[in-house]
Amino acid sequence: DHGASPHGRNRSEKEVAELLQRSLSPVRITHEDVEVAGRLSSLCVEDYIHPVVLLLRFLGHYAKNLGYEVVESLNMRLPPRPSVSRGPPLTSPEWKEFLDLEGRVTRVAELKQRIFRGGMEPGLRKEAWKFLLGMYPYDSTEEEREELRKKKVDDYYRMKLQWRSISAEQESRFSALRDRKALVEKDVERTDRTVHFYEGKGNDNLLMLKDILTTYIMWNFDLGYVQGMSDLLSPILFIMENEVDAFWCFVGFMDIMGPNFAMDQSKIKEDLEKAHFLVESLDPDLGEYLEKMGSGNMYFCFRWLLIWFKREFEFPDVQRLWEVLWTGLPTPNFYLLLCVAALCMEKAIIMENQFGFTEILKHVNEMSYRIDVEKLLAEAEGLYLQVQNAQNLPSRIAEILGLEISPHQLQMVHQSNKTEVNGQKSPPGAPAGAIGSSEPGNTSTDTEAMDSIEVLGECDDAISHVLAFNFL
Amino acid sequence: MAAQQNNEEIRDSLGEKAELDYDEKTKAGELAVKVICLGDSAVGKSKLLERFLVDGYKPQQLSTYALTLYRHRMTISDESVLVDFWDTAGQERFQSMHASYYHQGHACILVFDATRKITYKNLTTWYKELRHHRPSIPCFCAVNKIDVNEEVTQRSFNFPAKYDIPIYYVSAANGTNVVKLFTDAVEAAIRYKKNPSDFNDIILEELERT
Repeated sequence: DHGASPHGRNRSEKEVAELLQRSLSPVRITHEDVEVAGRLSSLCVEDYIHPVVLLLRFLGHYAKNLGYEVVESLNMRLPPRPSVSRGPPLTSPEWKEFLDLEGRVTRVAELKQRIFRGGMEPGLRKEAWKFLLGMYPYDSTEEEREELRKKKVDDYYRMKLQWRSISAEQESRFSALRDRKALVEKDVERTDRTVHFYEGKGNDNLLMLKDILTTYIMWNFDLGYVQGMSDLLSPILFIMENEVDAFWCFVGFMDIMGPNFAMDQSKIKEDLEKAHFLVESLDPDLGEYLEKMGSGNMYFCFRWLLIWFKREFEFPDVQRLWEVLWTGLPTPNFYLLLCVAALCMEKAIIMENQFGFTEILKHVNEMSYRIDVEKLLAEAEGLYLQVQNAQNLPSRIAEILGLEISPHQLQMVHQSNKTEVNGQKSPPGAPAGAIGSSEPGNTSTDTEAMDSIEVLGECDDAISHVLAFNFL
Repeated sequence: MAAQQNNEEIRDSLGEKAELDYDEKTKAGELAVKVICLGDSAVGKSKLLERFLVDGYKPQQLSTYALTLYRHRMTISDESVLVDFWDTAGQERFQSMHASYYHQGHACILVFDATRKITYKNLTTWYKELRHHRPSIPCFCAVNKIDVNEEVTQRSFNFPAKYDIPIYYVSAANGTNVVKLFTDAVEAAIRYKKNPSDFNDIILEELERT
């Protein structure tokens, strides 16, 4: 016990300095560094944090001053996962309360919060989704929207005419368009054909689906059509029951999802990696298990990520899930927590049966239509709240989930002005030694020197095994 | 060639080892093999599998993203076999995911669509990718949708002849040759698993030819 005595504070301060001297010399420790060390050591007294933990925190601060960035931090301490209750869907009378006399949507933040909590009644979707998907600005009046819609109708048919007016002969010499159209046709034929709305041969809604996707090719020819996009459009058209509205709402959705379909798949790869990091951090057992089973690549989440769980749920559930995700609450990356939550929910099955990559993949495939959407949303939010209140929150998680690291959480990276590093007073016990060879930010080659150091901490259970610094 | 194949270290696009272990035998004492289906989007890979596995045919199958896995147990020459069929996404966009599903594959079925020439042309690309990852596993070629284009069964194709790949004229819609295709593929997968070297000879011959 390093109790709340002044002695304890002094001792840990001294320890910090001594340990630093041993591990970091020959570098100069400045007055400011000592101040940080002092503040941290007072934490030691107030919050009963082990001095070695503090040392590592201080190293984080110090490394930053030298131009290093802490990329891995200490073991996060998670509070128990709160149980979250979902709310009832937003109703039509409630929605009207949010509209002012001219039809502007007011109290947008509150509205989004409300939709995040409970989604909305199906009857509201046709109107409200147009705002969520950016077809209309929230602050537009009803009159302005009428004007805007006229423009959007014209714009849509202008683009539709572009491909409609290309003759078969032209098309025979226009492979870029022909190939894109062929992809659309192949996919439209197999999109939600068991949903009544798209059932049967020569279905008009199916034709509309095809026309919208083909017009989207003209809107974004470079991207063109990629498998998966028909799945994203299908529920929107089902709700809108109108070609033009569905197109513009789809455009809004694609603004979010577009990177998923990029040629290099880099967004998906990044997301798989982030999901893996989240699992490792939020459920270390599962994270370790997946790693051990050669499943750290998380490929089984691919379909979830690509089309936001569209294939995992029945139509009404997909609509609920998406309207919640469109609020962007509590973070635009909430879908990543859905992946983590879905895996955590299956953790027992996966681990008890000793599933390897192949079995996990198969199991995940078979989870389709078996997940309770409200439960999944609640679990994912629980994870979010848990992270939000975590101590020693790794900066990477904060970054992924768009969290500010609050003062009561650990500030691994001390945000200080790095105006003066050398030539200042030395702390007690530290020699006025040589200055570290790498001054921050004074040469461009610093950024290219991507060497890293690892500090192994074997001292305390509370300390993660590796502290890695990436040279900026 | 043999050494290269055994030591072949497959890494996925994230630079991680994509390690899937098809053990010698499963817990139930079965032989486990992995058969991969490749080919362009919408040539009917999933439909063929479905026809074989459940002997059913749903005309409007959903498109496959990344990959879907079908596990099937069957008996071949009195031996219990567990077969994992890996059904892959055809669209080029998803090809960066491929490394992980070639890994430890024991046989491959290349599928093209009798009604779309381009899907035949692209077989060369698929084949190259396959051989990059699995230089010597047995390979089969299936021409699907012969119910729509019957004349195709009278045609011979240059690509399978060139690489000495057996060709099957099949229809997922009416089931023609589907069981034969998959049974032959599984048998070859088992032979390969039991004695991979046999197939190295074939691959050497191939190399000499080119």
